[in-house]
Amino acid sequence: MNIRCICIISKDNKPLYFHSVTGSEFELRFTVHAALDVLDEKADAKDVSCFKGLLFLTEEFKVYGYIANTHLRFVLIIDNDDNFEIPDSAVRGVFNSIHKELTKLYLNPFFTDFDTTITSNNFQTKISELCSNPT
Amino acid sequence: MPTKNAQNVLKASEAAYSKLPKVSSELLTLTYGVFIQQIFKTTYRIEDVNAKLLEIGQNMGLRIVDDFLSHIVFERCSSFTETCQILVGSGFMYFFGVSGTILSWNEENSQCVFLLKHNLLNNFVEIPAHLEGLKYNNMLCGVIKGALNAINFKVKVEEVESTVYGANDDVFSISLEELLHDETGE
Repeated sequence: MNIRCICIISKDNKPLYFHSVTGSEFELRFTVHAALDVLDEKADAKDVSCFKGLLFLTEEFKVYGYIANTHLRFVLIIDNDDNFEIPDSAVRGVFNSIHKELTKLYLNPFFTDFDTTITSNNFQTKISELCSNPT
Repeated sequence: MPTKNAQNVLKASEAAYSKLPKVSSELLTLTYGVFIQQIFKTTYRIEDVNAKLLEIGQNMGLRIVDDFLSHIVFERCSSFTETCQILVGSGFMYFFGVSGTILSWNEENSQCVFLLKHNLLNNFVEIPAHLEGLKYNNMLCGVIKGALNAINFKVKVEEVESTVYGANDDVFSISLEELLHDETGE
């Protein structure tokens, strides 16, 4: 599974964190924007679980979404590789790891930017490690 | 090498620690973090925060040394090295649940460096750039300083490495400055 991008958006649709691995960042941001609309629809549904599954497919990407109970949204973009069937559980695992890292960041007593972009170096290193090693 | 006395005290303190009522470590970690934030908001100067933490630690140290000595009975220590072994090994075990390990002593046996693994006060903490120089563990340094002061050792305790700045473990140094003598009351 090749992760291309991880994006964290607050409940007021402010971008909190954007990390892209390689490739055109512009295209990835565009895809995330498109994903937000689909995620909004899924947010209204009665489905209780946080993992919202595959949001949509493009030629190059598969886009997955996750909404935490605090209405924080995570969007994950993976390379669309037709040969590989990526199991849902693997994607859920990635979202859970992102959520855990974010929680650890929030537990830092000096962390105050809940509504602005995340600048912590520790967090960036952890997310890059997660991207290169998704299991 | 820890003395026989020190080893016995370590066993006694482990036993005593297991009988004490426990509290969630996250509660302690978060409380300590917010506490330091609040102190910072009173002065906005890092040196003042460090000094205040040391002072608070010293006040704690004065009192807990009596608590420790009343619960764990052992022979008088024969030297400063033995005192430090007992403090680092058993003192931390009794109050903190983790035992420190002494890494090295200097030639005259007046300064030691010790390591504290799994210091839960530092869990999840990352110091932001504008607070560079904040000695997050200064309260622990103060506790050691206050405790040794109460038993007539004047020491200087500093943090050498800290996990909040990215090191693997917390390392502290204790240096003996002088031996105090009991003052006779007038």
